[in-house]
Amino acid sequence: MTGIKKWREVWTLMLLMASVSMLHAEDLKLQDEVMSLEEIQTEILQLNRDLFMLEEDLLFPPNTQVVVFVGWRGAAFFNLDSIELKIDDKVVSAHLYTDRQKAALKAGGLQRLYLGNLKAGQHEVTAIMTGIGPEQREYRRAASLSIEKTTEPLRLALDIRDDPQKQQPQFTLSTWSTE
Amino acid sequence: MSLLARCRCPVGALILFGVASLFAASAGSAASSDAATAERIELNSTALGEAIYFANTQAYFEAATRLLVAEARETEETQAIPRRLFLSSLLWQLGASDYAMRLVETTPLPENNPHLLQRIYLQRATLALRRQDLPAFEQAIRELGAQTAESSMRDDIQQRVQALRLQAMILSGDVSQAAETWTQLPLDSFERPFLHQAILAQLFQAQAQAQAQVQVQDQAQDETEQQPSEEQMPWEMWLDKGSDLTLTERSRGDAQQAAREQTMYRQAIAERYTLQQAFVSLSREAFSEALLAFDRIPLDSPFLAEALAGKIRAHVGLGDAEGARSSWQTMLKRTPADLQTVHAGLWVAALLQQKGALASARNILNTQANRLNDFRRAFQALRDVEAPLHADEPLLQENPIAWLYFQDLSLEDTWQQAKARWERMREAQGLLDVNARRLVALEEGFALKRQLRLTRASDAELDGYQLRRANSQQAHEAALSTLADRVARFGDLALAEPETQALWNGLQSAKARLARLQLAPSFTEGESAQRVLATAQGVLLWQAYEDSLSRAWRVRHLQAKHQAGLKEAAERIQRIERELLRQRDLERDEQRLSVFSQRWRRLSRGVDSELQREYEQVLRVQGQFCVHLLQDVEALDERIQYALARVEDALWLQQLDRRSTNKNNTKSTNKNNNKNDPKEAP
Repeated sequence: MTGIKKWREVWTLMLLMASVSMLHAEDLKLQDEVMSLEEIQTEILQLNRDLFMLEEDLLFPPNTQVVVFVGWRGAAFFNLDSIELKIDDKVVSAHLYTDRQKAALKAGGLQRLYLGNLKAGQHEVTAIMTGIGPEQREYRRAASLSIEKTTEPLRLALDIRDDPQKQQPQFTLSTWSTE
Repeated sequence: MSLLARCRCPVGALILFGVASLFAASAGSAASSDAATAERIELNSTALGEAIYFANTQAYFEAATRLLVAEARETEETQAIPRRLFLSSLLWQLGASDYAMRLVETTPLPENNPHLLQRIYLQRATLALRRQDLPAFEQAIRELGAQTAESSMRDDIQQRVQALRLQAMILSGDVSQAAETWTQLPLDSFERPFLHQAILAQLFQAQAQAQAQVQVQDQAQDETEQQPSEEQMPWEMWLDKGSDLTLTERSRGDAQQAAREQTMYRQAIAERYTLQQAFVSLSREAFSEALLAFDRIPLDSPFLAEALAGKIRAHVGLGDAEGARSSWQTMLKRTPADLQTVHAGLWVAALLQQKGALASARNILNTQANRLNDFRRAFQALRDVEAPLHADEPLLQENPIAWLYFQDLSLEDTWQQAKARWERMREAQGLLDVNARRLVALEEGFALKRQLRLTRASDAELDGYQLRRANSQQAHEAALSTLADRVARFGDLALAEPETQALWNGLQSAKARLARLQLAPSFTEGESAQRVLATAQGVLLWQAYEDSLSRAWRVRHLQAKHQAGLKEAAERIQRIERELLRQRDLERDEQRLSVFSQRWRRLSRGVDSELQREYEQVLRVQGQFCVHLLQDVEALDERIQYALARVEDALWLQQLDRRSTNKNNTKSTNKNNNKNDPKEAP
């Protein structure tokens, strides 16, 4: 009887150990799955980053690169609908804004309106903004800038802001300063 | 479901908070100097600006990519820390939590910017809390406290710390303390409503547990013991306090919406509590009391099916067949797609059978047996849907039973988690597809470039050019140096020609000879000869000078010509160098591209297998859920068939009784007739 009891105890212990190890294995398996998901996600992010850099290096090399950013501060006198961008009188970019994009700009975001290549020398850049201006009237304004493209990358900023003194929106196209 | 997951704070809101905080950080630090500086700081980082734009348009992946590129290129270092903090938030949301943590932990601590330092510790605390790592959270908060006295903390950071502490309290189960702290949160805090929901969810859970305990205790204790009244519950008191505060003091934002949500949650909790009480009464067989409690559940309550089922059970307990049938009919009308309705029908049929209304019982059972087929079909369809279920699945739109049970399935933690992972992998696959298209476009671009490059300079060619250039240069320099020497020494240069030299020598010797003659001073011929000699020498010198000038001019001309040739050669060499550089760049880029393709293929294989695994997991959970439901249906069917068989037996017995009664009646009638009519007597 004692022998049977002992065997039963041993058997129970073995079962317990087996179940514990199975549970542990399940935990580890789950952990592995989570890890692999995490790794894949990280790798995809890195791949995307590297590809983005490669594209930028190849398609828009620094000596010809030109970028135009749009920033919007203050929206009391203007509600933006669209922007058309011309370089040397040729339309290079046009954008219609959704409510979400407008909100993103108002929240301090910068939109890369145009990324392209330009030969060294003198050029004329013009941005035409349309929207709803003061007193809910349709509003269309242009901002121009003459630029000298060198072998350095050229960054331009189109800044839309309120002019409280004139009670009008103000549009400024200027070269980006990293000062 | 985890506690934080219960806090239904939208992803976008969290990120936007990050953005808002970051901008508050930038603008705030600048505010101390002047507005212009603030503007400059804000506009300084195009990567951050672009990331904010993308994050606000919910393109989180694009936002993260912009910041990762800036991080890799190490540009705009002035904004490196805010950029890293923002990036860590985005990475977390995109499922790269370890990467996010690593980024925050490796962010250098700035020595002269206390605000930025606070933000780093705050971010560490936030991420630790999201990982549900309370010790790490406490550590980060302690470090934050050690860095700054609370009084010198900016308001936004203080508020954020308070909100994080509150979340930690919820996470550790200290709900009453969390509820107390919640009332101290600023009224315009954006996290206030989300935290409120999280606390309510916790209270809900805690209350349900408490009720379950009460139920167990009640069964053991005296039945007459009083239950705590609803009004005395601490959570209810707190809710009153909280909702009053929210309703009366909320200074801005969607106060009405918040009030509606509060009322809804409050009502749901109150209904749940009433239901629990009713079931406790039911378990104590206090059927009338239970009925009263069940009646307090309104018809539009989400717990209506449970309430009606309980009500039917109470009616059955009281033996009130009419009440049970009426409640069941309401249930049939209100919640026809719930399996509980079929279940309740079984109780009603049993009661009717007891009361002898066998035909009605049989009708109910037959109808329910037929309805079970609808459930069976719906559950089988749910199980057989190929893709993991989604709310816009046509099956769900058309079938109310499938829709109702999909709601249940969507609350299952295992299913939710598996589906979330599967969806993440699908997104990853989509991104890889986009990347594949970009890679193909780049490869095509390369092919075109290669085709356009008709002449390709080789390294050997360049070496030859460089050697020739060096030789020419050396020769040119040697020639220049010789010429320069000769031009510098005029005399040598003047007598450089052999004829001139001979003439000069002849003149010199004639002059010497004339001097040796020692002529008398009056001898004019001698003087005249000397003058002639001097003139000849002068003419000779003049001619030599003229020659040297023209020669010098010719030398200069030659030199200029030579220099132009050299310049042209140098330019050509430069062109070749550039060309070679481009070629090397191209080769390097080609290599980069090929590495990309390899990486892409490897990743794509990983994603495909992972996607398949997650897909199978989702289907497995979905299938298991449906199998359980189908098992319930089969069990219910068995019970209905059994009940139906009993009713049929009873009906048969009744018919037998009736027949025998009829027979007896006929016999007795006949007897009576025979007695009355002697003709028909046997």
